[in-house]
Amino acid sequence: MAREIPYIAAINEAIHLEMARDDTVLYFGQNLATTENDEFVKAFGHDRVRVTPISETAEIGMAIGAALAGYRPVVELYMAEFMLVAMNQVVNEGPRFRYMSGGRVKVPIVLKAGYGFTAGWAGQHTGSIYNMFTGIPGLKVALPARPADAKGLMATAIRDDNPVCFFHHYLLTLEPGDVPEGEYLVPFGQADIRRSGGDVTVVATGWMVGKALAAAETLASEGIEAEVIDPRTLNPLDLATILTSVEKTGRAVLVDQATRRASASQMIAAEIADLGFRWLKAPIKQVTGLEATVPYSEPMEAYVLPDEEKIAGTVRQVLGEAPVAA
Amino acid sequence: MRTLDPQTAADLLRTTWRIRCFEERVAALKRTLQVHGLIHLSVGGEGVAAAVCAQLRDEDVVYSGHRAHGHAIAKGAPTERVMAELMGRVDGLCRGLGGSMHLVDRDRGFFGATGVVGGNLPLALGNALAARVRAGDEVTVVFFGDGAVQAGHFHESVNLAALWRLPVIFVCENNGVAEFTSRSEHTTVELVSDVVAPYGLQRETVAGSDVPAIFEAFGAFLERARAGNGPFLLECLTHRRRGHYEGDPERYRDPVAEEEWRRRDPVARLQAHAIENGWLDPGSAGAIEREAQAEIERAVRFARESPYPEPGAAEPFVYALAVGCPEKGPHTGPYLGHPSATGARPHGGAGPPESEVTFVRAINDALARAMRADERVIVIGEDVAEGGPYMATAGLADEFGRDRVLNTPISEGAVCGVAIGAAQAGLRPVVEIMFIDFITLALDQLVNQAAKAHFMSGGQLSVPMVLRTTCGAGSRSGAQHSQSLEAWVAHVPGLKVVMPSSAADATGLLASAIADPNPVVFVENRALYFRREQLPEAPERLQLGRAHTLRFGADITIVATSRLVGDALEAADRLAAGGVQAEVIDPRTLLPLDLETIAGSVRRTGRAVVAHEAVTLGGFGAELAAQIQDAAFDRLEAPIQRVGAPFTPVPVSPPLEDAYRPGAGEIYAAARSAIEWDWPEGKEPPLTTAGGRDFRS
Repeated sequence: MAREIPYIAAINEAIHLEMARDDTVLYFGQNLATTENDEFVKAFGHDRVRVTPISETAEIGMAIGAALAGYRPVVELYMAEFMLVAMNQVVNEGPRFRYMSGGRVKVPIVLKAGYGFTAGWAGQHTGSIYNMFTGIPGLKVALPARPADAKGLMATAIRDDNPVCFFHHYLLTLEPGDVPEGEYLVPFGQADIRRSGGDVTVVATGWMVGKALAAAETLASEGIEAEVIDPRTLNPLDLATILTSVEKTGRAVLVDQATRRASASQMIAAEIADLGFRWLKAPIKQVTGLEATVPYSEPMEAYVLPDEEKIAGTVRQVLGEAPVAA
Repeated sequence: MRTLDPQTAADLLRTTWRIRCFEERVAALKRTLQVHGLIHLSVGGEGVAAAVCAQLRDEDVVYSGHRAHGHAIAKGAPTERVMAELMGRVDGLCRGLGGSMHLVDRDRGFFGATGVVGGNLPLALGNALAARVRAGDEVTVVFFGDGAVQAGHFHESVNLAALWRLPVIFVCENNGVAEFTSRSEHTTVELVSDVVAPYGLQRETVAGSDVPAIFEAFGAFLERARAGNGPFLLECLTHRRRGHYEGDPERYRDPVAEEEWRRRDPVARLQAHAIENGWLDPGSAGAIEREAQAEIERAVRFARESPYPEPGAAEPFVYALAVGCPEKGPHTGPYLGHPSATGARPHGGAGPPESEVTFVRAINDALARAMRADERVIVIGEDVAEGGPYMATAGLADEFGRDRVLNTPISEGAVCGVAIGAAQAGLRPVVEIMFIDFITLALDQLVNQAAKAHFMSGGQLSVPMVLRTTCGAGSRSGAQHSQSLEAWVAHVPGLKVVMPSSAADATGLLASAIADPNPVVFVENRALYFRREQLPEAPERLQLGRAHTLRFGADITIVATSRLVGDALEAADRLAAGGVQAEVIDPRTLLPLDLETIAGSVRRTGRAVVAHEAVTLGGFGAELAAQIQDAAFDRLEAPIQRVGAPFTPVPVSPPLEDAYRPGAGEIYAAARSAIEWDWPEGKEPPLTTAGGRDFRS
């Protein structure tokens, strides 16, 4: 049975259910469980639910150690950009153990971090830096765009035997949606076709999925049918679904909140350009954040971010119905 | 020792009231959404800001954390411009680009706040280092809270400041709560002065509500720091009267303690103290408060009347423009050839005098030349004074002294932060991080501080630094000493990324990188280090953002970076033997990227291979391929082939690593597939109407 709950509640529900199901699941991080009233503390106690100091390096390192010792820690890291403080643990330690030990050990950790809080949070709290984790062999990256996926991907992340970066979008926090009750898993590497259409393939992640769907509605009123695909996980990436769609449509528009250079969006573009080359009727175009740190002032912030109009405009462009920019 | 006199007491009272009124007004404006974003207020901490900053000169630089409004105002930032910044207006201190967490007022020596707890502690060290290099008597102050003490960069910074005896005063506002977590939940050590004790800092702990005590304690430290001593820690026990941010539900509050703290309000205490001593009568104290309120109302009006910036005004602030080092046009100087280039050397015969050097020696020479030419250039890193493991910095300490060639502890984060701070203070540091794998330890500094400072300050600060590092597999060093992570830094607006493939390029590009007003990541592949090539004795500077075509050919374009450039030329030779003429292009800099040259070539050849040593999935080749397909789609006759490493960590076993590392064989095979690629039988090339293009004409 599904019922409507917010995105954040769906994430918490998944963690709660997994902790109830498996005693080895731990949950810790900054500002977590600071009162005895905390629902996780009440249910699982302070041994499994811990608050930590502002020590990202030690938090993640400790999680890796606990994972090597047989536990499944979920680390709450608040802002994706704060993971930069601890990148050595995220990149050089966590995802390396399995490989460097010849498969003898595993590191089942979940690094949970919010991103993209573009609501005047300015230059250091708004970054969409998931691409930095996508190109790391050994790491997996999940980017839920709606409450049900948030729940299902979190549960899968906790059960995965590899380190997983789980990036939830801050502007979706209170977004309601239908979420199945009880055990619910969304497999990694399985894209979600959110809308079917035969004219153009639009691939979007996170907060951008909603914007792409809204743009698709506008386009539909003009007679353009866009297929909107949410990959849900960037690594593993479900290229098959994307390519199948591109075979049908011959055109692709990629939407990514991050700045474009060396982004996850460019990665997907390169794959389509390579494997889908024979079907392409137009260049793959992208709608991404502009090449700038996110500014504080509202009009400038809106200017650097992708929105529905930019998406619709780009779709019209690849369909040859708008001038192609140089 | 300087004690509080009546005039100073009145001045401090005025500052504390100005901050108090400002903060309370901002809280009200935030409730009605007239200021937006994330706002952290300093109500309860006004006394520290006032007593510290009142004693500083404009040239003394202050860094602060996310709770910075009071520090900025106390340091002299005009309240109306702070308010305008919080409202995101064009007259804001940072033109609306920074906001509450990133205030900067360069002229008043307020070098900025950070949203990463403790993230700019090492920047203060860099500023102090710059003062020492200039032989000035400026003192640097950095404000932080007790929450920052549990972060590694705090310890790295305190250790380094103590080691180098820098004239820095660390001012800790210990309010007993880190964001939403009380002290008992985040540390076993109550006083920060106890934490720093082993490092040997001069330290003192005072009540944050006792403004005269803060004034005296700080004054004593300042006098000694002014004489070149340091570092010092002044710990003020304060209370954060409001939440971590505006809107914080504050579930962690203890109502009893709150009442007690209200009685110890620093502004009220200072006012009472001044009246008791007969320095002020109650009437003039009241006037001070009213004047402050009136000023803040004026500030609000000023901010409201200031327009929002033009949305497009943001982009020009991503990079600082070169001042005093004019950008050259297309490179026209004597061609500095790639050692294995054969096809494109535009000049021959008698050139300038040349000598044969290794790549790493060329780096060494370029550093020495830059240091000779510009005394602002300093070199910082682990073991650099001894030359480093590859002797890239050999001899520099002998020639330029250890004030300009600084060995550091194994503290990559702090070392990078020191370079950023020194760069913001006008030096041109070249920091060395031995392996790019270790930039993981400095990535917050590089991404959140270096790359963003110019932008977030609305162009007030620039960070002319170079981070030299090495990459590449092949030395059996395993998965943590062999990576190629350049795609990360190429993703970050505000950074520039250089990857030279030859000694000549390295020389010319390093000179430009050092002269550039922006942070430049300079990535050297260790496999190139001991290759020898002829180099002119006075090499030319090479402009960043200009690709280099090493070989011309009409059939296929090979774009290769760093070590793979040599392999691309080798593959091109093999292709030529089979009748295929390959054009080989080395972008030389990934950011900025010379797409014009690359796409122009592909538009002529119709086929492309991109090659690098990094993993293919998530590597920079995807960026190249995506841009090429966009710019040359109508001319592409085959899919763009990407050559890179498989998606695994770098293995250490010799046969595995050799198989892992891409090279000439892979490039050759990729080029052959592109050449041989054809439309599947019976399938016509799809026609398109996009942009009215004439497909595959």
